[in-house]
Amino acid sequence: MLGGFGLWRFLTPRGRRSSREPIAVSAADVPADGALVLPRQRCAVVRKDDAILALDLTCPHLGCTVNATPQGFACPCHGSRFKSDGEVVEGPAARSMKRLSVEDRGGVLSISREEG
Amino acid sequence: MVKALLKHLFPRRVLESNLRISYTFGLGGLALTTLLLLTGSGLLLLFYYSPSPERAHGSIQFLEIDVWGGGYLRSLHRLSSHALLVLITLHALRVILTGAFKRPQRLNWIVGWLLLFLAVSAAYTGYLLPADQLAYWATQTGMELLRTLPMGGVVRSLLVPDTVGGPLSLLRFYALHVVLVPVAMLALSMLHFFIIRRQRGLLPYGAASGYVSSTPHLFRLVTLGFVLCTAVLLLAAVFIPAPLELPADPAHAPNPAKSAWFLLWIQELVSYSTSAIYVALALVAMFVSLPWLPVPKLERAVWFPREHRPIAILVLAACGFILTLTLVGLFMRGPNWGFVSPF
Repeated sequence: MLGGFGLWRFLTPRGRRSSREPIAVSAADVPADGALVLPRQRCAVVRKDDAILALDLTCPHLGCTVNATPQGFACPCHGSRFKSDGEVVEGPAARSMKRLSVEDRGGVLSISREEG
Repeated sequence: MVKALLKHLFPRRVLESNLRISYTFGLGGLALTTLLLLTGSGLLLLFYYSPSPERAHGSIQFLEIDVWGGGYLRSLHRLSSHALLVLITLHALRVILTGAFKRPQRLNWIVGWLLLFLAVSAAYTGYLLPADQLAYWATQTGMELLRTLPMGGVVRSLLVPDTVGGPLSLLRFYALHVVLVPVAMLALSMLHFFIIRRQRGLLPYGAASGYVSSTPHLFRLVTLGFVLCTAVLLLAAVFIPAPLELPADPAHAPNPAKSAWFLLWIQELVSYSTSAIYVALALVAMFVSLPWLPVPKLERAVWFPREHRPIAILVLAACGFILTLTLVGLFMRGPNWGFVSPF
């Protein structure tokens, strides 16, 4: 028992907190009724009816990076489909895409990894 | 001395009728041959592979381009691993369809399943090591899938203490792939063969007559199988190079992103629903529990024994199901995992 506990502690090191800088994009770069996809940051900024929202591109099913399609987003690993606002249209994903918080700072959008 | 050791793994005397190729096809022995080839080629690959995310992909490229015979060895290692998975599966099917899984073979049945589990683990951890696209996405989805299972989160945090493809997880997969899993496999294989020796060969046990000495009768076959299997793999490795995809890129998954063929049926299953993973687990549980099902124990060794007909049907149906899922995943899935025509 004690050995197992020691082994568990040994094998699960304390995670170093990864500091995630907010992502900054110019609001003008987001097309009307379209999306600005930032693959490196694994997120997309979507403008729909003058509202702006940011989505995490990680598929809520098993974590693949989804692709932008004319209809919204699609997962290349298991075929989940999402609307452009991230709402799930077709499984296997059971949840919608995660929304990230967006803050408009005078034309510059600041997107942070905390859920919005 | 090695020869003597090997000899002691096999029974001293065997039933002459059990030496018929059409009874066992020597599948277990052939699987051991591929395991030995994997050990040999793997030991040589150790001289070049570098288990860090920054250098892994580059070290495989160097092996492929600048090392004489490097690409060939990698291909041999990969093909041997495929052969091992196929041979263990066929061997298990042979054991089931000739009714050789009831008591007293139950212990060896479990050891055999552990060996298959380890072979799949070795193949899966091996896929991560090149740190290419195939590796990254197979691990990303596999580890997320693990998280959905009971206790899966615990196992996941042991395998991936940082992030998928991160330095710690790559090092863990490496340690598992080159030491823990192969050592366990070699030890369990020895146990597997030793149990057969203890049981004095295969069914039927305790026959009054018909025994011949293993030297030379059995060993002639063992040597022949070893040489043939090795020759086929050595030759195939010349013509079928091991692929290496682009370096892992979390921003872009290949479209469609398909896993290795031996896990494709699971990928196909969970593309319908995440909880379909329990169908896969139920199938495995059904296979493992076969010796405890109420079917009679056989005293003789025949293919498709009448008493075991329901089991044969059940098992062949399960195999057909897995094979169909694999073929659908392989040939009928296109961009964004949509259906495409295979023709």
